[in-house]
Amino acid sequence: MIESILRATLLGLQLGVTFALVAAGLTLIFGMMDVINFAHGALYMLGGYFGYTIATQFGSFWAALVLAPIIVGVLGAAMEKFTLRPLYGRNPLYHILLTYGLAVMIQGVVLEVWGASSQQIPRPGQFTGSITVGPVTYPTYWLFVLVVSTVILTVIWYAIENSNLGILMRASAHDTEMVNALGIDVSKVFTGVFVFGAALAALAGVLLGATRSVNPGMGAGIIIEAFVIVVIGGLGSFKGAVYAALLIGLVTAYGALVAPTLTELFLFVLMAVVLLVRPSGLFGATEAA
Amino acid sequence: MSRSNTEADGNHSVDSDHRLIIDGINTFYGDSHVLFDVSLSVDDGEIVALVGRNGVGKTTTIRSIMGLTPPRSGTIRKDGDEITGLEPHKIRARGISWVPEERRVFGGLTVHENLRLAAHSASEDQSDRFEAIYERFERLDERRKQKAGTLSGGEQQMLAIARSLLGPETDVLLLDEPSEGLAPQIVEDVKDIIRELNDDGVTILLVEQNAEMALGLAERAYVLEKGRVVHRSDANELLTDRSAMEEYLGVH
Repeated sequence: MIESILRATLLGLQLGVTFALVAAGLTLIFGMMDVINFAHGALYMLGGYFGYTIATQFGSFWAALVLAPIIVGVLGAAMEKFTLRPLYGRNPLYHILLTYGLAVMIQGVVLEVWGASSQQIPRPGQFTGSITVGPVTYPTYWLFVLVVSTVILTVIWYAIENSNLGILMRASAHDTEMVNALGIDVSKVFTGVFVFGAALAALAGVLLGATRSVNPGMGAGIIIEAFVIVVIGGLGSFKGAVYAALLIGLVTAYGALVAPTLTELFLFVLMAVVLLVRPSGLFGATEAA
Repeated sequence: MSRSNTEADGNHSVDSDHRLIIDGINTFYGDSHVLFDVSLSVDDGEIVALVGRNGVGKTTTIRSIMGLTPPRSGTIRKDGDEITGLEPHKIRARGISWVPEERRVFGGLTVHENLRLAAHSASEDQSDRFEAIYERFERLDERRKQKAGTLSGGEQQMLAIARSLLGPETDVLLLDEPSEGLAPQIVEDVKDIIRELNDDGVTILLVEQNAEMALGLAERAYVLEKGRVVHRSDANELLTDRSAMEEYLGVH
Protein backbone atom coordinates (compact mmCIF):
# COMPACT_ATOMS: atom_id res chain seq x y z
CA MET A 1 0.00 0.00 0.00
CA ILE A 2 2.63 2.51 1.14
CA GLU A 3 4.75 1.43 -1.76
CA SER A 4 2.10 2.18 -4.35
CA ILE A 5 1.29 5.54 -2.75
CA LEU A 6 4.95 6.56 -2.81
CA ARG A 7 5.27 5.38 -6.37
CA ALA A 8 2.13 7.27 -7.38
CA THR A 9 3.47 10.39 -5.67
CA LEU A 10 6.63 10.36 -7.74
CA LEU A 11 4.67 9.60 -10.90
CA GLY A 12 2.30 12.44 -10.07
CA LEU A 13 5.10 14.93 -9.51
CA GLN A 14 6.80 13.83 -12.71
CA LEU A 15 3.56 14.23 -14.65
CA GLY A 16 2.89 17.53 -12.87
CA VAL A 17 6.13 19.19 -13.91
CA THR A 18 5.70 18.11 -17.53
CA PHE A 19 2.08 19.30 -17.51
CA ALA A 20 3.42 22.59 -16.18
CA LEU A 21 5.72 22.86 -19.21
CA VAL A 22 2.69 22.50 -21.49
CA ALA A 23 0.39 24.74 -19.45
CA ALA A 24 3.04 27.48 -19.04
CA GLY A 25 2.88 28.37 -22.71
CA LEU A 26 -0.90 28.21 -22.79
CA THR A 27 -1.32 30.53 -19.83
CA LEU A 28 1.37 33.01 -20.90
CA ILE A 29 -0.11 33.24 -24.39
CA PHE A 30 -3.54 33.83 -22.93
CA GLY A 31 -2.22 36.35 -20.42
CA MET A 32 -0.49 38.48 -23.01
CA MET A 33 -2.55 38.08 -26.16
CA ASP A 34 -5.95 36.99 -24.82
CA VAL A 35 -5.72 34.09 -27.23
CA ILE A 36 -7.07 30.69 -26.27
CA ASN A 37 -4.75 28.44 -28.23
CA PHE A 38 -6.44 25.16 -29.03
CA ALA A 39 -3.48 24.20 -31.22
CA HIS A 40 -1.19 24.12 -28.21
CA GLY A 41 -1.79 20.39 -27.73
CA ALA A 42 -0.97 19.81 -31.39
CA LEU A 43 2.39 21.55 -30.88
CA TYR A 44 3.03 19.22 -27.94
CA MET A 45 2.19 16.28 -30.20
CA LEU A 46 4.51 17.55 -32.94
CA GLY A 47 7.25 17.74 -30.33
CA GLY A 48 6.63 14.07 -29.58
CA TYR A 49 6.67 13.03 -33.25
CA PHE A 50 9.70 15.09 -34.26
CA GLY A 51 11.40 13.75 -31.14
CA TYR A 52 10.50 10.20 -32.12
CA THR A 53 11.85 10.59 -35.66
CA ILE A 54 15.05 12.30 -34.56
CA ALA A 55 15.67 9.80 -31.76
CA THR A 56 15.11 6.77 -33.99
CA GLN A 57 16.85 8.13 -37.11
CA PHE A 58 19.92 9.57 -35.38
CA GLY A 59 19.82 7.20 -32.44
CA SER A 60 20.10 10.06 -30.00
CA PHE A 61 17.47 10.97 -27.41
CA TRP A 62 19.52 14.08 -26.60
CA ALA A 63 19.37 15.35 -30.16
CA ALA A 64 15.61 14.85 -30.04
CA LEU A 65 15.34 16.74 -26.76
CA VAL A 66 17.18 19.74 -28.20
CA LEU A 67 16.07 19.76 -31.85
CA ALA A 68 12.36 18.98 -31.57
CA PRO A 69 11.60 22.09 -29.46
CA ILE A 70 13.61 24.23 -31.89
CA ILE A 71 11.71 22.92 -34.92
CA VAL A 72 8.35 23.34 -33.19
CA GLY A 73 9.43 26.82 -32.03
CA VAL A 74 10.05 27.82 -35.65
CA LEU A 75 6.66 26.41 -36.67
CA GLY A 76 5.12 28.34 -33.78
CA ALA A 77 6.71 31.55 -35.03
CA ALA A 78 5.20 31.04 -38.46
CA MET A 79 1.83 30.18 -36.95
CA GLU A 80 1.80 33.33 -34.80
CA LYS A 81 3.02 35.64 -37.52
CA PHE A 82 0.86 34.47 -40.40
CA THR A 83 -2.33 33.23 -38.81
CA LEU A 84 -2.86 34.66 -35.31
CA ARG A 85 -1.44 38.15 -35.70
CA PRO A 86 -4.14 39.44 -38.06
CA LEU A 87 -6.76 38.40 -35.51
CA TYR A 88 -5.45 40.13 -32.38
CA GLY A 89 -8.00 42.38 -30.78
CA ARG A 90 -10.92 40.62 -32.50
CA ASN A 91 -13.62 38.58 -30.90
CA PRO A 92 -11.98 35.58 -29.13
CA LEU A 93 -14.24 33.26 -31.14
CA TYR A 94 -11.99 33.91 -34.14
CA HIS A 95 -8.97 32.67 -32.19
CA ILE A 96 -10.85 29.58 -31.07
CA LEU A 97 -11.97 28.75 -34.61
CA LEU A 98 -8.53 29.39 -36.06
CA THR A 99 -6.53 27.47 -33.48
CA TYR A 100 -9.02 24.61 -33.41
CA GLY A 101 -8.74 24.42 -37.19
CA LEU A 102 -4.96 24.40 -36.97
CA ALA A 103 -5.11 21.60 -34.39
CA VAL A 104 -7.27 19.49 -36.72
CA MET A 105 -4.95 20.19 -39.66
CA ILE A 106 -1.84 19.27 -37.71
CA GLN A 107 -3.48 16.06 -36.55
CA GLY A 108 -4.32 15.23 -40.18
CA VAL A 109 -0.74 15.81 -41.27
CA VAL A 110 0.55 13.67 -38.39
CA LEU A 111 -1.75 10.77 -39.40
CA GLU A 112 -0.56 11.10 -43.00
CA VAL A 113 3.15 11.23 -42.19
CA TRP A 114 3.52 8.98 -39.15
CA GLY A 115 0.41 6.81 -39.35
CA ALA A 116 -2.16 5.96 -36.72
CA SER A 117 -0.18 3.56 -34.59
CA SER A 118 1.35 4.42 -31.27
CA GLN A 119 5.09 4.90 -30.97
CA GLN A 120 7.46 5.35 -28.11
CA ILE A 121 10.62 7.44 -28.02
CA PRO A 122 13.52 5.22 -26.88
CA ARG A 123 14.81 6.37 -23.51
CA PRO A 124 18.42 7.51 -23.26
CA GLY A 125 20.81 4.68 -22.31
CA GLN A 126 21.71 6.30 -18.98
CA PHE A 127 18.10 6.26 -17.83
CA THR A 128 16.73 2.89 -18.88
CA GLY A 129 17.19 1.25 -15.50
CA SER A 130 15.45 1.65 -12.21
CA ILE A 131 16.43 2.69 -8.73
CA THR A 132 15.24 1.31 -5.42
CA VAL A 133 14.67 3.72 -2.58
CA GLY A 134 13.45 2.00 0.59
CA PRO A 135 10.50 -0.18 -0.34
CA VAL A 136 9.91 1.41 -3.75
CA THR A 137 11.46 0.89 -7.14
CA TYR A 138 11.30 3.81 -9.58
CA PRO A 139 12.37 4.00 -13.20
CA THR A 140 15.39 6.35 -13.25
CA TYR A 141 13.85 8.05 -16.28
CA TRP A 142 11.06 9.42 -14.06
CA LEU A 143 13.67 11.02 -11.84
CA PHE A 144 15.42 12.44 -14.90
CA VAL A 145 12.14 13.99 -16.18
CA LEU A 146 11.40 15.37 -12.74
CA VAL A 147 14.82 17.00 -12.41
CA VAL A 148 15.04 18.42 -15.93
CA SER A 149 11.53 19.89 -15.83
CA THR A 150 11.97 21.29 -12.34
CA VAL A 151 15.20 23.02 -13.32
CA ILE A 152 13.59 24.55 -16.42
CA LEU A 153 10.50 25.71 -14.51
CA THR A 154 12.65 27.22 -11.77
CA VAL A 155 14.70 29.18 -14.29
CA ILE A 156 11.55 30.49 -15.99
CA TRP A 157 10.01 31.37 -12.63
CA TYR A 158 13.12 33.28 -11.58
CA ALA A 159 13.26 35.09 -14.92
CA ILE A 160 9.61 36.10 -14.78
CA GLU A 161 10.04 37.49 -11.27
CA ASN A 162 13.33 39.28 -11.82
CA SER A 163 14.38 39.95 -15.41
CA ASN A 164 13.38 42.92 -17.55
CA LEU A 165 11.70 40.47 -19.89
CA GLY A 166 9.73 39.00 -17.00
CA ILE A 167 8.58 42.46 -15.92
CA LEU A 168 7.57 43.10 -19.50
CA MET A 169 5.56 39.88 -19.64
CA ARG A 170 3.77 40.55 -16.37
CA ALA A 171 3.00 44.12 -17.42
CA SER A 172 1.71 43.00 -20.82
CA ALA A 173 -0.58 40.45 -19.21
CA HIS A 174 -2.02 43.39 -17.28
CA ASP A 175 -2.25 46.19 -19.88
CA THR A 176 -0.80 45.63 -23.34
CA GLU A 177 -1.81 49.03 -24.68
CA MET A 178 0.02 50.86 -21.90
CA VAL A 179 3.15 48.78 -22.50
CA ASN A 180 3.02 49.65 -26.19
CA ALA A 181 2.64 53.36 -25.39
CA LEU A 182 5.73 53.16 -23.19
CA GLY A 183 7.71 52.55 -26.35
CA ILE A 184 7.83 48.77 -26.42
CA ASP A 185 7.00 46.86 -29.60
CA VAL A 186 4.58 44.37 -28.09
CA SER A 187 4.11 42.42 -31.32
CA LYS A 188 7.73 41.24 -31.07
CA VAL A 189 7.13 40.21 -27.49
CA PHE A 190 4.02 38.31 -28.59
CA THR A 191 5.97 36.32 -31.16
CA GLY A 192 8.69 35.62 -28.60
CA VAL A 193 6.24 34.37 -26.00
CA PHE A 194 4.40 32.23 -28.53
CA VAL A 195 7.61 30.61 -29.77
CA PHE A 196 8.76 30.02 -26.22
CA GLY A 197 5.42 28.44 -25.29
CA ALA A 198 5.49 26.21 -28.37
CA ALA A 199 9.04 25.05 -27.65
CA LEU A 200 8.17 24.21 -24.03
CA ALA A 201 5.16 22.18 -25.18
CA ALA A 202 7.38 20.31 -27.65
CA LEU A 203 9.95 19.65 -24.93
CA ALA A 204 7.21 18.13 -22.78
CA GLY A 205 6.14 16.08 -25.82
CA VAL A 206 9.61 14.55 -26.08
CA LEU A 207 9.94 13.96 -22.33
CA LEU A 208 6.54 12.30 -22.03
CA GLY A 209 6.90 10.55 -25.40
CA ALA A 210 9.41 8.27 -23.73
CA THR A 211 7.12 7.30 -20.84
CA ARG A 212 3.60 7.63 -22.18
CA SER A 213 3.37 7.06 -25.91
CA VAL A 214 3.54 9.20 -29.03
CA ASN A 215 0.19 8.92 -30.81
CA PRO A 216 -2.16 11.02 -32.93
CA GLY A 217 -4.54 11.53 -30.02
CA MET A 218 -1.95 12.85 -27.55
CA GLY A 219 -2.50 16.50 -28.50
CA ALA A 220 -6.24 16.41 -28.03
CA GLY A 221 -5.70 14.51 -24.78
CA ILE A 222 -3.25 16.88 -23.15
CA ILE A 223 -5.10 20.03 -24.12
CA ILE A 224 -7.90 19.07 -21.71
CA GLU A 225 -5.48 18.63 -18.82
CA ALA A 226 -3.68 21.83 -19.80
CA PHE A 227 -6.88 23.89 -19.88
CA VAL A 228 -7.97 22.51 -16.53
CA ILE A 229 -4.57 23.52 -15.16
CA VAL A 230 -4.72 27.01 -16.63
CA VAL A 231 -8.22 27.58 -15.29
CA ILE A 232 -7.38 26.26 -11.82
CA GLY A 233 -4.14 28.25 -11.68
CA GLY A 234 -5.78 31.46 -12.88
CA LEU A 235 -5.73 32.58 -16.51
CA GLY A 236 -2.43 34.23 -17.36
CA SER A 237 -0.56 33.27 -14.20
CA PHE A 238 2.63 31.22 -14.61
CA LYS A 239 2.90 30.66 -10.88
CA GLY A 240 -0.69 29.43 -10.81
CA ALA A 241 -0.07 27.06 -13.70
CA VAL A 242 2.86 25.44 -11.92
CA TYR A 243 0.94 24.85 -8.69
CA ALA A 244 -2.15 23.65 -10.53
CA ALA A 245 -0.07 21.33 -12.75
CA LEU A 246 1.46 19.65 -9.70
CA LEU A 247 -2.02 19.28 -8.24
CA ILE A 248 -3.37 17.76 -11.46
CA GLY A 249 -0.35 15.48 -11.81
CA LEU A 250 -0.90 14.11 -8.31
CA VAL A 251 -4.66 13.76 -8.77
CA THR A 252 -4.06 11.86 -12.02
CA ALA A 253 -1.56 9.51 -10.39
CA TYR A 254 -3.57 8.88 -7.23
CA GLY A 255 -6.75 8.65 -9.26
CA ALA A 256 -5.20 5.90 -11.38
CA LEU A 257 -4.48 4.06 -8.16
CA VAL A 258 -8.06 4.26 -6.86
CA ALA A 259 -10.24 4.28 -9.95
CA PRO A 260 -8.33 4.37 -13.25
CA THR A 261 -11.43 4.95 -15.34
CA LEU A 262 -12.49 8.00 -13.37
CA THR A 263 -9.31 10.14 -13.42
CA GLU A 264 -10.70 12.62 -15.91
CA LEU A 265 -13.79 13.00 -13.78
CA PHE A 266 -11.57 13.80 -10.77
CA LEU A 267 -9.91 16.61 -12.77
CA PHE A 268 -13.20 18.28 -13.55
CA VAL A 269 -14.53 17.87 -10.03
CA LEU A 270 -11.34 19.50 -8.76
CA MET A 271 -11.75 22.33 -11.26
CA ALA A 272 -15.37 22.87 -10.24
CA VAL A 273 -14.44 22.97 -6.56
CA VAL A 274 -11.63 25.48 -7.12
CA LEU A 275 -13.86 27.70 -9.24
CA LEU A 276 -16.61 27.63 -6.63
CA VAL A 277 -14.20 28.75 -3.95
CA ARG A 278 -12.08 31.10 -6.08
CA PRO A 279 -13.85 32.01 -9.32
CA SER A 280 -10.71 33.50 -10.87
CA GLY A 281 -8.52 30.50 -10.05
CA LEU A 282 -5.73 30.15 -7.50
CA PHE A 283 -3.69 33.07 -8.82
CA GLY A 284 -6.20 34.73 -11.11
CA ALA A 285 -6.98 38.36 -11.89
CA THR A 286 -7.37 39.43 -8.24
CA GLU A 287 -3.58 39.41 -8.06
CA ALA A 288 -2.97 41.92 -10.86
CA ALA A 289 -0.42 40.94 -13.52
CA MET B 1 -15.62 78.15 -35.04
CA SER B 2 -17.54 80.69 -33.04
CA ARG B 3 -14.59 82.58 -31.62
CA SER B 4 -11.16 83.08 -33.02
CA ASN B 5 -8.14 84.44 -31.36
CA THR B 6 -5.77 87.14 -32.48
CA GLU B 7 -2.71 85.05 -33.09
CA ALA B 8 -2.14 83.40 -36.43
CA ASP B 9 -3.85 80.13 -37.07
CA GLY B 10 -0.95 77.68 -37.17
CA ASN B 11 -2.73 74.77 -38.79
CA HIS B 12 -1.16 75.07 -42.18
CA SER B 13 2.04 76.80 -41.26
CA VAL B 14 5.39 75.05 -41.12
CA ASP B 15 6.62 77.39 -38.42
CA SER B 16 9.39 75.51 -36.61
CA ASP B 17 8.06 76.68 -33.23
CA HIS B 18 5.27 74.16 -33.56
CA ARG B 19 6.15 71.04 -31.64
CA LEU B 20 2.87 69.40 -32.45
CA ILE B 21 0.36 70.20 -35.17
CA ILE B 22 -2.93 68.38 -35.47
CA ASP B 23 -4.61 69.22 -38.70
CA GLY B 24 -8.23 68.32 -39.41
CA ILE B 25 -8.32 64.86 -37.86
CA ASN B 26 -11.41 62.66 -37.90
CA THR B 27 -11.37 59.76 -35.48
CA PHE B 28 -13.83 56.91 -35.06
CA TYR B 29 -14.50 54.17 -32.55
CA GLY B 30 -15.82 51.49 -34.85
CA ASP B 31 -18.64 53.18 -36.72
CA SER B 32 -19.08 56.00 -34.28
CA HIS B 33 -17.58 59.28 -35.46
CA VAL B 34 -15.98 60.97 -32.44
CA LEU B 35 -13.69 63.74 -33.68
CA PHE B 36 -14.72 66.08 -36.51
CA ASP B 37 -11.90 67.98 -38.25
CA VAL B 38 -10.08 68.72 -35.03
CA SER B 39 -7.10 71.04 -35.48
CA LEU B 40 -4.81 72.34 -32.81
CA SER B 41 -1.18 73.14 -32.33
CA VAL B 42 1.22 73.15 -29.41
CA ASP B 43 4.33 75.31 -29.58
CA ASP B 44 7.72 74.45 -28.17
CA GLY B 45 7.76 74.97 -24.39
CA GLU B 46 4.07 75.74 -24.09
CA ILE B 47 1.40 74.34 -21.83
CA VAL B 48 -1.81 74.06 -23.83
CA ALA B 49 -5.08 73.10 -22.19
CA LEU B 50 -7.73 71.05 -23.96
CA VAL B 51 -10.94 71.44 -22.01
CA GLY B 52 -14.60 70.61 -22.43
CA ARG B 53 -17.39 68.68 -20.85
CA ASN B 54 -17.36 64.94 -20.30
CA GLY B 55 -17.44 62.83 -23.47
CA VAL B 56 -16.66 65.54 -26.03
CA GLY B 57 -13.55 63.82 -27.39
CA LYS B 58 -10.69 65.11 -25.24
CA THR B 59 -9.32 61.66 -24.48
CA THR B 60 -9.89 60.59 -28.09
CA THR B 61 -7.76 63.52 -29.24
CA ILE B 62 -4.92 62.34 -27.01
CA ARG B 63 -5.39 58.72 -28.14
CA SER B 64 -5.28 59.86 -31.76
CA ILE B 65 -1.97 61.65 -31.21
CA MET B 66 -0.47 58.67 -29.38
CA GLY B 67 -1.46 56.28 -32.17
CA LEU B 68 -3.78 54.27 -29.91
CA THR B 69 -6.87 55.20 -31.92
CA PRO B 70 -5.43 56.47 -35.20
CA PRO B 71 -7.48 59.08 -37.07
CA ARG B 72 -9.10 58.03 -40.36
CA SER B 73 -8.22 61.32 -41.99
CA GLY B 74 -6.21 64.42 -41.23
CA THR B 75 -2.58 64.65 -40.22
CA ILE B 76 -0.55 64.86 -37.05
CA ARG B 77 2.95 66.29 -37.17
CA LYS B 78 5.68 66.34 -34.58
CA ASP B 79 8.54 68.78 -35.24
CA GLY B 80 7.42 68.90 -38.85
CA ASP B 81 7.42 65.11 -39.40
CA GLU B 82 4.17 63.34 -40.03
CA ILE B 83 3.41 60.74 -37.35
CA THR B 84 -0.23 60.02 -38.22
CA GLY B 85 -1.08 56.36 -37.76
CA LEU B 86 2.32 55.22 -36.55
CA GLU B 87 2.26 52.51 -33.91
CA PRO B 88 2.28 53.82 -30.32
CA HIS B 89 5.81 52.58 -29.59
CA LYS B 90 7.14 54.46 -32.62
CA ILE B 91 5.38 57.62 -31.51
CA ARG B 92 6.90 57.22 -28.06
CA ALA B 93 10.31 56.87 -29.67
CA ARG B 94 9.79 60.31 -31.21
CA GLY B 95 9.58 61.95 -27.82
CA ILE B 96 5.83 61.98 -27.22
CA SER B 97 4.83 60.51 -23.88
CA TRP B 98 1.41 59.71 -22.46
CA VAL B 99 0.04 59.86 -18.94
CA PRO B 100 -3.36 58.21 -19.32
CA GLU B 101 -6.63 58.85 -17.62
CA GLU B 102 -6.91 56.77 -14.46
CA ARG B 103 -3.10 56.52 -14.49
CA ARG B 104 -2.94 52.83 -15.49
CA VAL B 105 0.10 51.94 -13.46
CA PHE B 106 0.93 48.23 -13.40
CA GLY B 107 -0.60 47.34 -10.05
CA GLY B 108 1.08 43.94 -9.65
CA LEU B 109 4.53 45.39 -10.32
CA THR B 110 6.54 47.30 -7.73
CA VAL B 111 7.17 51.02 -8.14
CA HIS B 112 10.70 50.28 -9.28
CA GLU B 113 9.56 47.61 -11.74
CA ASN B 114 7.09 50.08 -13.26
CA LEU B 115 9.97 52.46 -13.84
CA ARG B 116 12.30 49.71 -15.13
CA LEU B 117 9.66 48.81 -17.68
CA ALA B 118 9.45 52.40 -18.89
CA ALA B 119 13.24 52.57 -19.17
CA HIS B 120 13.28 49.28 -21.10
CA SER B 121 12.81 50.84 -24.53
CA ALA B 122 15.66 53.33 -24.10
CA SER B 123 18.79 52.69 -26.08
CA GLU B 124 21.22 53.98 -23.48
CA ASP B 125 21.78 53.25 -19.80
CA GLN B 126 19.32 55.20 -17.68
CA SER B 127 20.66 54.72 -14.16
CA ASP B 128 21.38 58.46 -13.78
CA ARG B 129 17.87 59.30 -14.81
CA PHE B 130 16.42 56.85 -12.30
CA GLU B 131 18.19 58.73 -9.54
CA ALA B 132 16.96 62.08 -10.89
CA ILE B 133 13.41 60.71 -10.94
CA TYR B 134 13.68 59.45 -7.37
CA GLU B 135 15.06 62.82 -6.27
CA ARG B 136 12.15 64.62 -7.84
CA PHE B 137 9.53 62.16 -6.58
CA GLU B 138 10.60 61.45 -3.02
CA ARG B 139 7.47 59.53 -2.19
CA LEU B 140 8.31 57.03 -4.92
CA ASP B 141 11.84 56.69 -3.59
CA GLU B 142 10.42 55.65 -0.21
CA ARG B 143 8.15 53.13 -1.89
CA ARG B 144 10.46 51.56 -4.48
CA LYS B 145 9.66 48.00 -3.46
CA GLN B 146 5.96 48.52 -2.84
CA LYS B 147 3.41 47.18 -5.34
CA ALA B 148 2.03 50.05 -7.38
CA GLY B 149 -1.51 48.82 -6.80
CA THR B 150 -1.18 49.61 -3.09
CA LEU B 151 -0.17 53.26 -3.62
CA SER B 152 -2.56 56.14 -2.96
CA GLY B 153 -4.16 57.91 -5.92
CA GLY B 154 -1.72 60.80 -5.68
CA GLU B 155 1.27 58.48 -5.52
CA GLN B 156 -0.01 56.52 -8.52
CA GLN B 157 -0.31 59.78 -10.43
CA MET B 158 3.30 60.64 -9.54
CA LEU B 159 4.35 57.18 -10.70
CA ALA B 160 2.45 57.57 -13.98
CA ILE B 161 4.20 60.89 -14.60
CA ALA B 162 7.60 59.54 -13.54
CA ARG B 163 7.10 56.56 -15.84
CA SER B 164 6.41 58.88 -18.78
CA LEU B 165 9.80 60.54 -18.30
CA LEU B 166 11.93 57.39 -18.56
CA GLY B 167 12.75 55.65 -21.81
CA PRO B 168 13.29 57.78 -24.90
CA GLU B 169 13.77 61.50 -24.14
CA THR B 170 10.36 63.11 -23.58
CA ASP B 171 9.76 66.51 -25.16
CA VAL B 172 5.98 66.42 -25.49
CA LEU B 173 3.85 65.20 -22.63
CA LEU B 174 0.17 64.32 -23.13
CA LEU B 175 -1.51 64.52 -19.73
CA ASP B 176 -5.03 63.12 -19.52
CA GLU B 177 -7.03 64.20 -16.46
CA PRO B 178 -4.12 64.30 -14.01
CA SER B 179 -6.28 65.85 -11.27
CA GLU B 180 -9.02 63.24 -11.49
CA GLY B 181 -10.00 61.80 -8.12
CA LEU B 182 -7.27 63.59 -6.17
CA ALA B 183 -7.65 65.63 -2.98
CA PRO B 184 -7.21 69.40 -3.47
CA GLN B 185 -3.83 69.41 -1.73
CA ILE B 186 -2.56 66.64 -4.01
CA VAL B 187 -3.87 68.50 -7.06
CA GLU B 188 -1.63 71.38 -5.99
CA ASP B 189 1.35 68.98 -5.89
CA VAL B 190 0.50 67.72 -9.37
CA LYS B 191 0.29 71.32 -10.62
CA ASP B 192 3.73 72.05 -9.15
CA ILE B 193 5.17 69.04 -10.96
CA ILE B 194 3.59 70.06 -14.25
CA ARG B 195 5.11 73.56 -13.86
CA GLU B 196 8.52 72.12 -12.98
CA LEU B 197 8.52 69.81 -15.99
CA ASN B 198 7.50 72.68 -18.22
CA ASP B 199 10.32 74.82 -16.76
CA ASP B 200 12.67 71.99 -17.72
CA GLY B 201 11.55 72.42 -21.31
CA VAL B 202 8.83 69.77 -21.68
CA THR B 203 5.96 70.86 -23.93
CA ILE B 204 2.62 69.88 -22.44
CA LEU B 205 -0.85 69.19 -23.79
CA LEU B 206 -3.14 69.04 -20.79
CA VAL B 207 -6.59 67.49 -20.99
CA GLU B 208 -8.78 68.32 -18.02
CA GLN B 209 -12.33 68.16 -16.84
CA ASN B 210 -11.19 70.51 -14.09
CA ALA B 211 -11.04 73.53 -16.40
CA GLU B 212 -9.99 76.00 -13.74
CA MET B 213 -6.96 73.92 -12.84
CA ALA B 214 -5.93 73.48 -16.46
CA LEU B 215 -6.49 77.10 -17.44
CA GLY B 216 -4.52 78.24 -14.39
CA LEU B 217 -1.49 76.35 -15.72
CA ALA B 218 -1.82 76.79 -19.46
CA GLU B 219 -0.90 79.66 -21.74
CA ARG B 220 -3.42 78.79 -24.40
CA ALA B 221 -6.60 76.75 -24.44
CA TYR B 222 -8.85 74.91 -26.84
CA VAL B 223 -12.43 73.99 -26.04
CA LEU B 224 -13.96 70.85 -27.50
CA GLU B 225 -17.68 70.32 -27.87
CA LYS B 226 -19.23 67.24 -29.48
CA GLY B 227 -15.97 66.34 -31.16
CA ARG B 228 -15.28 69.81 -32.60
CA VAL B 229 -12.99 72.63 -31.57
CA VAL B 230 -15.43 75.42 -30.76
CA HIS B 231 -13.17 77.94 -29.12
CA ARG B 232 -9.52 78.81 -28.78
CA SER B 233 -7.90 81.65 -26.95
CA ASP B 234 -5.39 82.57 -24.29
CA ALA B 235 -6.08 80.51 -21.20
CA ASN B 236 -6.45 83.61 -19.03
CA GLU B 237 -8.84 85.17 -21.45
CA LEU B 238 -11.08 82.09 -21.35
CA LEU B 239 -10.83 81.87 -17.58
CA THR B 240 -12.15 85.44 -17.22
CA ASP B 241 -14.76 85.09 -19.98
CA ARG B 242 -17.72 84.15 -17.82
CA SER B 243 -20.13 83.56 -20.68
CA ALA B 244 -17.73 81.25 -22.53
CA MET B 245 -16.91 79.36 -19.33
CA GLU B 246 -20.57 78.84 -18.73
CA GLU B 247 -21.47 78.01 -22.30
CA TYR B 248 -18.71 75.52 -22.99
CA LEU B 249 -17.77 74.19 -19.61
CA GLY B 250 -20.82 74.68 -17.44
CA VAL B 251 -18.77 76.66 -14.95
CA HIS B 252 -20.77 79.44 -13.29
